[in-house]
Amino acid sequence: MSNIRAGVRFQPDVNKRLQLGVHKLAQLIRPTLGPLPRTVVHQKLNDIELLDKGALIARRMTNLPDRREDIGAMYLRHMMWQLYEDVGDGTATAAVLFTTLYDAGLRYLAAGVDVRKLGGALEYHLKYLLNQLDQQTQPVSALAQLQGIARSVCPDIALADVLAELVHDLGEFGRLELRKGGTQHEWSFVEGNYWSGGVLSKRFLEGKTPARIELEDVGVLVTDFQLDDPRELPPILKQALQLGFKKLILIAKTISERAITFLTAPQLLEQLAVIPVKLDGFTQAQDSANHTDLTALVGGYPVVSLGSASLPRARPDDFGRARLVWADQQHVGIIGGDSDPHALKHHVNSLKTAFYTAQDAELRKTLRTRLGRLLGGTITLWVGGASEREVEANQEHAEHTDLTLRSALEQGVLAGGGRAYLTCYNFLQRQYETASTLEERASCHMLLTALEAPLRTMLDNAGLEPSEIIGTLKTAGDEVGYDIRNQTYSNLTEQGILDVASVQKAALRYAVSSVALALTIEAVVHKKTPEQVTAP
Amino acid sequence: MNTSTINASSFVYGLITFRDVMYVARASGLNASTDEGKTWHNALSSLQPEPTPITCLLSHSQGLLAGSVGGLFSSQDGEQWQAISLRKPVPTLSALAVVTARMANHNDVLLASSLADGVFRSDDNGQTWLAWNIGLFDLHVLSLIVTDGNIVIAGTETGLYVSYNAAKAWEAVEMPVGDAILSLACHQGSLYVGTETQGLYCLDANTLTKDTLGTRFLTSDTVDWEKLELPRGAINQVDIADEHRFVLVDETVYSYQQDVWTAMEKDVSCFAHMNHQLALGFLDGSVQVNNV
Repeated sequence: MSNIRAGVRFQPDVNKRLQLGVHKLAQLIRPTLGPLPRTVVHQKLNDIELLDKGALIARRMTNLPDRREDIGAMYLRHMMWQLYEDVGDGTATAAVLFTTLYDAGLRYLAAGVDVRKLGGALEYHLKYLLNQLDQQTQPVSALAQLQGIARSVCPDIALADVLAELVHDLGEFGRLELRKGGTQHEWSFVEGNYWSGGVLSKRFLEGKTPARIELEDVGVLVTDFQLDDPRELPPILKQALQLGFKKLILIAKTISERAITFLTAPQLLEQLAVIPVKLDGFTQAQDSANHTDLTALVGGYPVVSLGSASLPRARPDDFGRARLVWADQQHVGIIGGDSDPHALKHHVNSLKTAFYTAQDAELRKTLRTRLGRLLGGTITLWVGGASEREVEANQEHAEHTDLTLRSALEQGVLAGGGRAYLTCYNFLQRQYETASTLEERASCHMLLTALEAPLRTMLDNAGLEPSEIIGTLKTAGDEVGYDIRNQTYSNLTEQGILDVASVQKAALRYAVSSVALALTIEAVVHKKTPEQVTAP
Repeated sequence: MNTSTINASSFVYGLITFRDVMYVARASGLNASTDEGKTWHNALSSLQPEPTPITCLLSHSQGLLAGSVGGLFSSQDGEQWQAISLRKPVPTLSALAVVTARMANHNDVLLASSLADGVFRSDDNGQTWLAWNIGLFDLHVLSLIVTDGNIVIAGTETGLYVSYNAAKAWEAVEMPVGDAILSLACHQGSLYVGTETQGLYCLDANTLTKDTLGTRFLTSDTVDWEKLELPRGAINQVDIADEHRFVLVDETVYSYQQDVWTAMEKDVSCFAHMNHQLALGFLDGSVQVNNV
């Protein structure tokens, strides 16, 4: 019995409305699954935007008039957004999988299956499906493969090809900086390693054109000092001189005018040229990471004051060395750091291990940035476009494509176009035939239907009849897929029609887990409609 | 046997032939001979000042490259040379190699390794050079080679690195021992790695392809190393081919005959096998050409 004042609804009233909401959102998303790109227009306050990413479309959709339908749509939206934040893609696939599984699940609920046992069976079969996908996963390294993947996620073919080539050169962790460019896509390579930061005072750049210092065969001392009292500097400088340095880069947080005057004194410059620079870091953890990485490259150890009033002494071992250090107002760069290669390799491997085990997307992003910097070399890509709006859109596409290509390098690829899911069909069919409980059979049947759904949707989108094609593929070898654009059966891997394995697995995992939970919904509590608020 | 001497105190770093002319890289410069080493002339007289020493040589489809402590020099005919601008600080070059273009309308990629600045590469016939060095943790590169499969191998002070994209990005290859890699050779899919103190190792270079391995960290467990039985000493140079095997251990050249390594010549600084002849550069600066 519903309580209009409180906005509470119970079963069996709930599922139908939730399902309608799910379908309304899914209908928006389906066309974007491909294979030919379609867009959805979203009206903003004084503008419109064209969207082709499932998660972004879902994000824009708010407040269906019917509150229960709205909850259904928001539930699906929430799943899609979480998936997008996790792996950056696969949201349309996940939406299609979810909708298919949810529809089938509701029918089985109506038939009387135990929803808890059904959820358990779904998770059980999911594990085996993910294992099947693992077995199909292949490493990717060829440029043609990366091009195929890039073209499938980036609508600008020229940009996709450039990105594929650059990521092919950089590998999984190499550093790629994306900037807004002009009308063309252009890139350049910067040797060595560099950080945001720069010279601590413009006085050290006076008279230099361009405004940049370059020091060869230079000592490097990494500190967190706030250089205030110049009287604290001589012990450090004396140590540097004793080590034979004629030039020194001093990493510090801040510097006072008195200290600058001391460091620019001609008497000092005759013996030792000292340039104080800073590395940008918003938190202590970032500062510490920067210091650790820099000393891993140049040798030495960070000298940490820990906020004490006086600066600690620097020992000989604390100093590092580099072939060349450059700095301007915004960056500090190293070429040819002189650290122990074994120690550097160990440090990089530690960060790689942390990266592969990290679950948090922000942490992975931070670790990837650090690794890119440590590996050395940076490619800067200026993303072009015919207009400013196009440049902005292309930059977003470039970021997304870069992430997808790195995921492909990291986790491998599967045959694209929904083929990988379909390859799991026969395995699951055998599970279905040997299932012993109603819930196990229900789970298998739901998943069997879902495994076809992405390919079926893509064929629908292309205006083709799905059943015959899917029927043919089920009996063909696993290596045979359907090239929808060219309407031919072919080896999709050889054609470069590939999907990133981590994305496909995540889409399936999110869809199954979300449906298992959604089917347990017994009641909804929602905001009152305006009519309910004003009703007596 | 043809012998000749020129500047007895000039250490010989390398020997090559280019268009039937023999070139020797010396501490005192670059010399050329058109009569199989009987007489020599100065090949770098077109440069002022003449660069010294010349530490490495390479002949490729577009001409010659010569590496020095002061940089890199190129010539299309072996007589007229020009200096190539490399970024500062100017590297000391240790070895030169070329990745042959596999596709039409693509240039060969020229490579120059250095003692402290990694590996420089040029894909515009030597006009411009960049050191990508991505993932090359040890920039002290002592030896360089390109396999038949166009995989680039760099031997550094601390170990071995491999590049699958013509020296842009590198991956470390674990060896059974950690040591400076002084020399490299490749023949019929086998890679030969000469170390400073741990002898000569052989590896099936086909295991270094990315598709075969697909591993993130290449470990000594994933590749099969074989140690060759040789006299103890620094493996300064290796040359393996169908009809011959030569190894320079310290200052002695050994050849492999009837399943045994046999000492051939002593006091050798380098050698080169060319057209059924073995050219030897000696510590006293002399060059000897033997028929083999």
